[in-house]
Amino acid sequence: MNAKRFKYGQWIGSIALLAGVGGPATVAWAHHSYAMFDGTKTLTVSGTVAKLEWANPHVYVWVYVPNAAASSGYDLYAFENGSTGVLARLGWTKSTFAVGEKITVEYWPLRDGRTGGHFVKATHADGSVALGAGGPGATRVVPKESQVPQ
Amino acid sequence: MNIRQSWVCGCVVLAILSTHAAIAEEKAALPGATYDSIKSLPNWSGWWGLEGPMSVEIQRTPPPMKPDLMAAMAKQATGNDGGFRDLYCRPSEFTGYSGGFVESVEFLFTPGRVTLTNESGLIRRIYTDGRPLPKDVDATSTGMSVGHWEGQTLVVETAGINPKALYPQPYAGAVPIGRNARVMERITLRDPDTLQFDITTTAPDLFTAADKRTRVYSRVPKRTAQQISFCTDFDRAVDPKTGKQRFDMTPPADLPPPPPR
Repeated sequence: MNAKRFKYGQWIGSIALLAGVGGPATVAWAHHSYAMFDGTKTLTVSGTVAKLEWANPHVYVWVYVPNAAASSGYDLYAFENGSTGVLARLGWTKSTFAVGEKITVEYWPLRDGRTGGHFVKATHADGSVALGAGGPGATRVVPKESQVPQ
Repeated sequence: MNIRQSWVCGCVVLAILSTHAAIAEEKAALPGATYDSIKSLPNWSGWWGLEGPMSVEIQRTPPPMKPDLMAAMAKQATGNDGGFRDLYCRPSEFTGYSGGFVESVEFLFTPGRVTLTNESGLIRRIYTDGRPLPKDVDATSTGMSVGHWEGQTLVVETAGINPKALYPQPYAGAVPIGRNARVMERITLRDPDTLQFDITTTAPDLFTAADKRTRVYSRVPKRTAQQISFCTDFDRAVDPKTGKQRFDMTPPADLPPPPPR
């Protein structure tokens, strides 16, 4: 299987979602605090990939999301994600998303209302899922690379 | 010099030489002292990673930090008062954590030394050639480490950590570890793909008691090293001038136009 296309269901059972274990006081932080994101809400948008910005310390996913009220007909969304290293452990590469492909993104929104947030996961048109890393609710255990389909 | 004096001198020289030879022999017999004996050491090759963020680990099993420092760390870690620039462009530091969540770690065995590196540039040189830890160690960002093998377990002692080195590295809200910090580690394989670190950290300026914790790393097969750096030309998440976090939505210069309606 191509590393960029792995089925969520294939390995979600093998990773522990620890939010419940850690309790509400457990908050992940990294080189910044994630205070700008609202980790209590998970929103969803669908759109067209504009760019996968493969960089440290954070990878960003840029997506054009249709909006009839916008002059261009689209809003540009930006989603912060983990570093290249930790995403590589999740099976990501710099070509996990192709420019122009349709995806649906789940994210923790920015508190200031701008069009963006922290990436939680995205679903490709074929149903395969790419999980994100980091963010205000990121207590999830990183799966062993051996558990990530290659 | 008469014959008797010459005889005494000769005995002294012989004694010194034999002592040196004995020490050299003893050192050569230490595990990992030669390329041949490295073959008898456990297989720690490749990269190793933790399975969760250390920030979560610390909240679940908090270190015995002095309350005012813990409060300062928590405030910084969840706020935005500009302290994030403190993490920018610092040398990699060792304050008890070798990495693993974001940056995987690896071990290199050479005669008389184990080198521990991680993907953000940490280099810990652990001398296993029998030398003692000096009483007065120069302060450095990683401290000085000596180690020895107890069977298949590497026992490491580290001192001389720069008092300004941040704990926990490289997390927002990290505070200086302070004077006279020391770290003891026992590193051993639980099974061929699971490596356990038992870590005891004493830091009298930071902790009220020794911090004891166990970290378990998993072998990351077929890993190609990824460079991790918080010293980047452009970080959308933190303004390097003010140190405040941000969410910079300046579109990349090569962004294609939106799809036709």
